[in-house]
Amino acid sequence: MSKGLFEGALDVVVLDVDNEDVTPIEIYSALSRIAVAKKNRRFNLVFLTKLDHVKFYERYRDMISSNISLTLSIKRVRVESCEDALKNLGTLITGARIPIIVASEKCANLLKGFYNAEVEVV
Amino acid sequence: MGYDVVLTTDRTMMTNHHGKEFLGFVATGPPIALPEKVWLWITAPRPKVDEEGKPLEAPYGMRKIEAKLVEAGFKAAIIDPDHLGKHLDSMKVLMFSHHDYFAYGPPSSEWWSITGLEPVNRRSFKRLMESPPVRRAKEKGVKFIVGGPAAWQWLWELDLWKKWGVDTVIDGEGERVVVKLVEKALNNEELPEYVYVGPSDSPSLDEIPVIKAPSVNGLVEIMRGCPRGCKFCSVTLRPLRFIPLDKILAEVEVNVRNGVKGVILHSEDVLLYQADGVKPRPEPLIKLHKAVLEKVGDGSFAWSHASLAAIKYAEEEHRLISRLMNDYVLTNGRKFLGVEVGIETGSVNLAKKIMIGKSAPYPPEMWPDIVEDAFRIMHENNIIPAATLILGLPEETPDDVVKTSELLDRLRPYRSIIVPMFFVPMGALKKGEWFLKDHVKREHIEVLYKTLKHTTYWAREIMNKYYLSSPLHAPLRFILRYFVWYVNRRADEFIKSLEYQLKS
Repeated sequence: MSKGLFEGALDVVVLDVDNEDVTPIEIYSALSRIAVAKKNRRFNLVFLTKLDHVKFYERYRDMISSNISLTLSIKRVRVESCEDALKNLGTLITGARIPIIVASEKCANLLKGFYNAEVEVV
Repeated sequence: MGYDVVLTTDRTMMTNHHGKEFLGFVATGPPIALPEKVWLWITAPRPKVDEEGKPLEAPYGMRKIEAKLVEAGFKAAIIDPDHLGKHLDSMKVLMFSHHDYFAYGPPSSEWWSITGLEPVNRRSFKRLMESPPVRRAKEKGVKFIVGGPAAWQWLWELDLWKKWGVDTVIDGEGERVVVKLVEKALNNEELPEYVYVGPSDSPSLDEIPVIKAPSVNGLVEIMRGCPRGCKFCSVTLRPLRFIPLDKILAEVEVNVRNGVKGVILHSEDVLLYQADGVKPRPEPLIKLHKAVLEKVGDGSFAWSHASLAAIKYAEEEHRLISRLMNDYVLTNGRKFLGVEVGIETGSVNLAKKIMIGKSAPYPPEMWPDIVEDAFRIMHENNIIPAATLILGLPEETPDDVVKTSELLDRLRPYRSIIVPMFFVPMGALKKGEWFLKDHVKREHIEVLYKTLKHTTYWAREIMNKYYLSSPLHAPLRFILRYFVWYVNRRADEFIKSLEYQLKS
C-alpha cells in the first residue's frame, strides 16, 4: 500500500465497519495464516472502522500487544458505512500491490467486485 | 545549526542521576516524606548542556536512534527538555523516549499501588507533554513520534495519546523502521499510528550503529536478547546478538573522550557475553573487562544485569567472579560493583511455571540454593545486587509466597537491596483505587515487611561505605539517610494498615 510503512510487506485491509463482525482473534488468526502461507511476517494493516481512537485501541489492544511474532504497521481510517469503506478501499488499492482483505460479513456483498479484481479476501 | 528532528524526554530520564545510576530509581516512587522538588534533585539533577541545549550525557537508547538518523543524513539531535523552545523554528519531527512513560512498569507500579500516589516519573512526563514548547510544537504541525522500552504503555493511555497529538508509536527495536518513518514525517506523508516491530525485524549487528555522543553514566550495550525464556519478560522474545568487542570499545571511547569516565556494561545477563549457551566462558569475559577497564582507568564500573545462575556457575566452575573482581574491577578508588539481579520467587514450583530456564544450567529444583549461593559469592566479592521479587502472579499460591519469605531469611546476611514487585493488571492503577486492598494476601504482607527491613538494614552500610562514600555526596547521603529512617519508622504503621485493610 502506498501509504504503508514497510516496503515489500503484505498489505492487509481489515473491514471493521460494523466492528462486531470481525473480532480481534479472527484478525490475528487470519494474519497468522497469511504469514505462514506467504512466508511474510510484515504487514501494513489498514482498518476501515467506525470506531474512534480510544474504542479502536481498546478493542484491538490485546491483539497488538500479544502479537509477538509479527511486525505490524497499523493505520486506522474512520468510515461511517460499508459504502464509505468501499470508497476508501478503492483509493487504498490504487497502488502497485493488491491488498488482502479481512472482510466483515455485512460488507461481503460489496466486495464481489474486488474478487473479480483478484483481491484476496480472507 | 537548525535541527529538523529533535529527540527528547522528561527530566527523570534526561539526567545522570549524580553519576549514580541507582538513584534513578528514586523517580519511580511518589514524593513522600519530602517535597517533589527535593525528590527530583535527588534523582534527576539537570545535566550539563551546550549552548544549543544538547546534553553531555543522554539515555543510551536515544543515542542509538540519534546515531541512526545522523548516519542516514538527517539533521537530528537530542535536546534537553528545558531547551526545546530554542528549536521550535527548525523542528519538524519531535521524538520522545522513556523507560516508564506512565509508571506502569516495575517498580513504579509497585510504589503507586502501595501508596495510591502518582509516581514522580509519570508526573514529570505529563508536565513535559503539557509544557509550552511541546504544545507550541504541536500547534505548528510538528510530528510526534514516541518509542522506547515503555512504548507499550501508550496502549493504556489512549486519551493522552490523542490529546497530546502523538502521530506514531513505535513498539520494539527501532533501528530498522525509524529512518523510514522520519523520512515520511519530513515529507509530510501520512504516518501509521502504531508500529509493532516483531522479532523478524530486529536489527542485525551491522544495522546497530555506534553512538555519536556520550550515554548516561557511560552505559554501553554488549548484547541484546536473552536465551532464558522467562514468561514475564519481553526481552527474551528478541534474538540473541553479541555486540563485537571493537564496537563496544568504540562506544566506551566516545564516552571517555567526552569526559564520561565510567562504564555500565548493559545486557540482560552480562556474564552470558559470548557464552556457551547459558554457561559463561572465562575468555571473552576477561578480554571484555580487561579492554574496557583499560580505557576507563579508575572510573566507575557496573553491570546492568546478571543472572544468579550465571554468577554461581562462573565462580564455581572457573573462579571467574573473583578473578574479574580482583584482577580488573576492584581498585583503590573502585570498591564495589553494582548490578541488578532477579530472584522473582523462592518457590521451586512457581519457578518451574514461569521461569524454567532461569536456573540453567542447574535444574529449577535448585533455585533457592542457587539464589543463596550467588548472594554469598557477590557478598564475598564486593558486588552489591539490587534484586527483584515478583508477587501476585496469577499462578502464585500461598505456599509459593511462604517459600519466598523463607528464602528472604536465608538472604539476610548478604549485603543487598531487595525490591518486591507486584504483578499489576493494567488498568487497575488508573482507576485510582487502592490496588493492594483487593489483591494482597497475608503471606504477601510478611514478604513486604521482610524486604523492607532487609533493604533498610543494608541501605545504611551501602550508602556510607560504598555508594555515596565521597564527601561530595554528603548532602545526598544525609537526605537519603533521613528517608530510610522515615520509611523504617513508618514500616510498622504501614504493615498494620495493610493488615487492617485485609480484615475489613
